[in-house]
Amino acid sequence: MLEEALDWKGDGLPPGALILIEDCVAAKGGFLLTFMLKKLLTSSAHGDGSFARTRVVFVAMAEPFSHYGRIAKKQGCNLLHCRDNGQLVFLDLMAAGNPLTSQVRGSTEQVSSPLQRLYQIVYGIVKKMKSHNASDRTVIMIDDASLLEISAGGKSDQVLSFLQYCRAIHTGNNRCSVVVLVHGDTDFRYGAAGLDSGGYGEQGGQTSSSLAQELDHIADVTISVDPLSTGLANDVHGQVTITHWSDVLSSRESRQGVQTLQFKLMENNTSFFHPGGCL
Amino acid sequence: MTEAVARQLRDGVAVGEQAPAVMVRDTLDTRAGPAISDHFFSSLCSNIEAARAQAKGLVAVALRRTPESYTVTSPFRKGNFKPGHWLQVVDCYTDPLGWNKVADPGKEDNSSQTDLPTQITVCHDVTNLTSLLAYVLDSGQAAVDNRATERFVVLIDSVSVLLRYHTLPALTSFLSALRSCGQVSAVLWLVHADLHESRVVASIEYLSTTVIHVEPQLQLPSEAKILNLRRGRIRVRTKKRNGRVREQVEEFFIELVGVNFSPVTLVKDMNPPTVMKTTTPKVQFNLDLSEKEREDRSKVILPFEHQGDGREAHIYDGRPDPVDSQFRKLGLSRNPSKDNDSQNLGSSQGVVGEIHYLRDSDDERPDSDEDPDDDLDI
Repeated sequence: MLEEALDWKGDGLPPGALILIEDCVAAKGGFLLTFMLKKLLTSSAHGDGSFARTRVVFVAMAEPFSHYGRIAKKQGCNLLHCRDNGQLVFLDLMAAGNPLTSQVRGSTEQVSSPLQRLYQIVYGIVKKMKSHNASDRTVIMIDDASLLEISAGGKSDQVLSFLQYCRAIHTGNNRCSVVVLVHGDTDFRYGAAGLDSGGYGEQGGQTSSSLAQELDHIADVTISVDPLSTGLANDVHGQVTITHWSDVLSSRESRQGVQTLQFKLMENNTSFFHPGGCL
Repeated sequence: MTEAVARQLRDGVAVGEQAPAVMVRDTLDTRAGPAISDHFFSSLCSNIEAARAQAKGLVAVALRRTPESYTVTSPFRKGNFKPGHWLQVVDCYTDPLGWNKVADPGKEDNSSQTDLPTQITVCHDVTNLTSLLAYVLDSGQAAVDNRATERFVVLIDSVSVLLRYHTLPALTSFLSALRSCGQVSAVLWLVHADLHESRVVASIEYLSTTVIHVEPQLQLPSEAKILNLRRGRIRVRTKKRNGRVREQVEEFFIELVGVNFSPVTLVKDMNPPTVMKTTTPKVQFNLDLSEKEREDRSKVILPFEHQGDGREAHIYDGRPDPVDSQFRKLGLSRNPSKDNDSQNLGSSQGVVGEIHYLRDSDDERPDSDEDPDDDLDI
């Protein structure tokens, strides 16, 4: 169901695309990362020769590998196997020897910011990944951008530059695509004189830019995860709103613009359904 | 109205003036700004190609989109134009901060030399506006074949990205340097207005001759979701050279091949019958009238209307009918046959014009002083 809403053909993400997952405290969006990771890895695993492989670089700052490994295993995808055969590179930035923090010691390199150092690492990994086919696609997944912002000392500009650099990496014929998770409620979006009071005129401009808002402007597709608007329910755990800002993931004819789906998280699966529909 | 903007970009700069600058500003509520500026970009491209424009070349500063999106023909553009060398791209997307040079020094330089087409110039340091300006002017020279008399148009696809790296004074001086440069024919830029303070947006608006506000169709509260991303309206504010300001509103619809603009339709201009039709509930039988039925209905004479002799209806107000009284003075009866009839009628029934009234019960007293609402407890 989610694939339909995303108009995702299942053959990896389009090159250069930026998929933004925006969650909040009441509804965490981490499950979507696992969902997409599994889809990306398995869609290429059973493909025939003509099928382009998707390689994933996972930059983890929120959860360790064992967390994702366990969830993916329940859903029938062996991340260890994928990691061993080089399809998945897991960059665990929470482990000891975090390159972002240890870069102070490596004084030989001329880096101005921790994220530049991180970019160099990601760049090196992407370039080193074995490529069988020039049309192979590479996806960089980041969990999450809010923590990246913290490690950059609260400078959202650097996070945006980092993401842009990630999208611009050339592998074979294609650029990398990026899937990034960001918390939508950790920074305020509109000031006191927000859109409610000011409208769209000149008076409404008293806004402060935040990371999530900036990302919204550059994202191709935004998937926002919210709790159920009508309150808690046993059978529905929340809702996702998919917004196609550009046409990279959908043809114009089929583009719905905005679509809302509800989801239920189960032990070994996540099911999506239309609001009011059954499981 | 959008044609006027396209014409402004086409006609370019007048002698002794700064180049016209068109600013497209959007917010997160539509995010259709790129599509709108694409529309002007493509119309400008076709104008340049057909040599209708003052400018002979175009420099696109790629900050938010890949440089390929400008050089490779995208289906969005109208027609199938193949960009020649008159279209140059300054690539500030791939390596804006020079990180690639540090990450992979030798290789990156090679790839930028060999892989990229000659149209693309990579800028490795966006933080230096002087060098960026030099890149733009160099690309412009290349676009017009180094002919010093020819002009070119500059497109900056996101000023918001530049504002990430620069302060407002630095950026405004960069933009005005661009505008006052002798070879620049026109400048087109895009700003995401909700990312910046209003004073920042206002100062950039001061630099532009035409500001295009891209707005959603409805003014939604900030929490509401967008209804249709492809529809909206634009507000074009044009500053004339003499200081006159004109503002016009148009609606747009983003389609497969481009953006369609249409004048704003007001509710009062809509056809009332169609509005009525939409409100009729869906039932199995027909609630509407056909044309013939409508005609027949209009012919029906209602009981209170004056019937019979085709005279104008007069409401009796206690005075004698002026027409009748004039006739009487002359001693004539205007309608003798009718008078006779009524006399006959009166004589046959005996009483004329009597009202028979039966009281419901004897409890009810006529003209009693009792308050009828006396028992109401208010």
